[in-house]
Amino acid sequence: MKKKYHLLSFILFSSFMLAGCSEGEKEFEKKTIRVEVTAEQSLVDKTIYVSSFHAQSGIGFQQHPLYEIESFSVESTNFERSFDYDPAGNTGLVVYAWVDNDNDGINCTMDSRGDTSGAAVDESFPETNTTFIIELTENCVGPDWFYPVE
Amino acid sequence: MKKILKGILLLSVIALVYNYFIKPDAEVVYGINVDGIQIDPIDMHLHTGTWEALTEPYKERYSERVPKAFRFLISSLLSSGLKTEGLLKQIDNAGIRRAGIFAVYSPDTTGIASNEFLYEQIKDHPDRMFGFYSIRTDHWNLNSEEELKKLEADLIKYQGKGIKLAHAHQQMRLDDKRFDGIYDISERLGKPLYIHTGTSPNPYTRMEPPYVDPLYLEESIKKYPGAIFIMGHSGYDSFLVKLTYLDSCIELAKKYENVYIEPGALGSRKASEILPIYLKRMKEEGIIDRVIYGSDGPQFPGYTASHLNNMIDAMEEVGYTGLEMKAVLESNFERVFDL
Repeated sequence: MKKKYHLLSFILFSSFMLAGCSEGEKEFEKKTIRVEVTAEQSLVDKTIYVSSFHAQSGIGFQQHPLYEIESFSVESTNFERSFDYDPAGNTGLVVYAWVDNDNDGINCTMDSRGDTSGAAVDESFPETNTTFIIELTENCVGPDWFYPVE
Repeated sequence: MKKILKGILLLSVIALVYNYFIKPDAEVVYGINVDGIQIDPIDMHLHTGTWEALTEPYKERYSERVPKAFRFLISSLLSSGLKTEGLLKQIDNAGIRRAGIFAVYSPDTTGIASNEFLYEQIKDHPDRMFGFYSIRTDHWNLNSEEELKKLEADLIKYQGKGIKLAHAHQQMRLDDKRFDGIYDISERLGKPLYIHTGTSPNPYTRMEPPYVDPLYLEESIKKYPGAIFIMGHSGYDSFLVKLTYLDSCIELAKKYENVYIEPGALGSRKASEILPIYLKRMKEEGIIDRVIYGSDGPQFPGYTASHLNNMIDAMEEVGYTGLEMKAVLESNFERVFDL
């Protein structure tokens, strides 16, 4: 009886395991973008933190802007970046950047409010893919300050 | 050996499902008695929702807790566990009579439990389930006026107890003055704000200090002295399992009378290590009257009860009196929310 029960449990478990293994994998496309960062201040020797987002992501009531793809830092104002792009349910690209003027790795603390941000938007990406020119204009704000807007 | 383990696993799941979803209700005893003090605990932090309204990455994370073989059960079990009867069952099992239930609008991270959905779950139990309504903020430059009007109308129409916000989930900087309109509604209507502070292990949640460190809220706390700000999770760094932003919460609570602290989720992972440190700090800093209990349940069957039990054990361990325990578990909430 015990052997039968264990056998039944094993068969059920194996079936469920197999069913669980049949989940689909995401298919990514390799994309490369060019980014230029400008500001009134000098950006020489400054660390710039960059994040890229799907401009719009999701389906139906879950659709929302600014779905993060990746974040990284650069020491240059003019660079290329390649990343894995997931086209399923995603449209457009927002590239957001901020310059770390006080070198603390944080986009403004309550005592230090001098880090400046900006963003460039291409709502047609990946159909179009021109240089993302980001002008740093606003202190202590996140990407949602710049997108979506009227 | 593997077969035996799998058999045990199967039986465990069946027992769990039976215990929490099928077994007839036993007579429920609410509350605890400590040193002659009767305590009727309130869990201010429970979630409602459905499997379908969770985001895909969150579903994946949630599924990791369940053996692959049984993941086909998650959808129905989670959905029923988060609706009216499931929520009542969870708090009954914990001996809790009253609880706050949250709406959430976090389409980036965990998903959506709308104000309308929340009201449907709690409307028949106004003495047991208190609604904390929320607001969608992801198109703020485009529709902030409409969203603010809707929040205000929902709070009035549904007789909401408070407002729920989760800046890190909603991708809102805590120092962004564009959101002051929400705090203004809180002050005008007398509806306290529950604000998620600290990090979260959920995918796509913002981790940077401007989104998680409550100190970034200080200007708004000062600007709206008539609004009560409850620092959800006490600035707990769930990602690193550390009390990273607790000092910020304590600083604000000591400085401003309209700041309170909630320990949601501190009683889960490493509870026996973290809770005594946390509760000792609250006592040493003299702010026990500012702590309002919440668990961040139901999460999984039994979580609501185990979180409360861990909290009670830790309070006893660090020498809380019956009255101090009552303050944290019951009377601070009753005072703030005029019960």
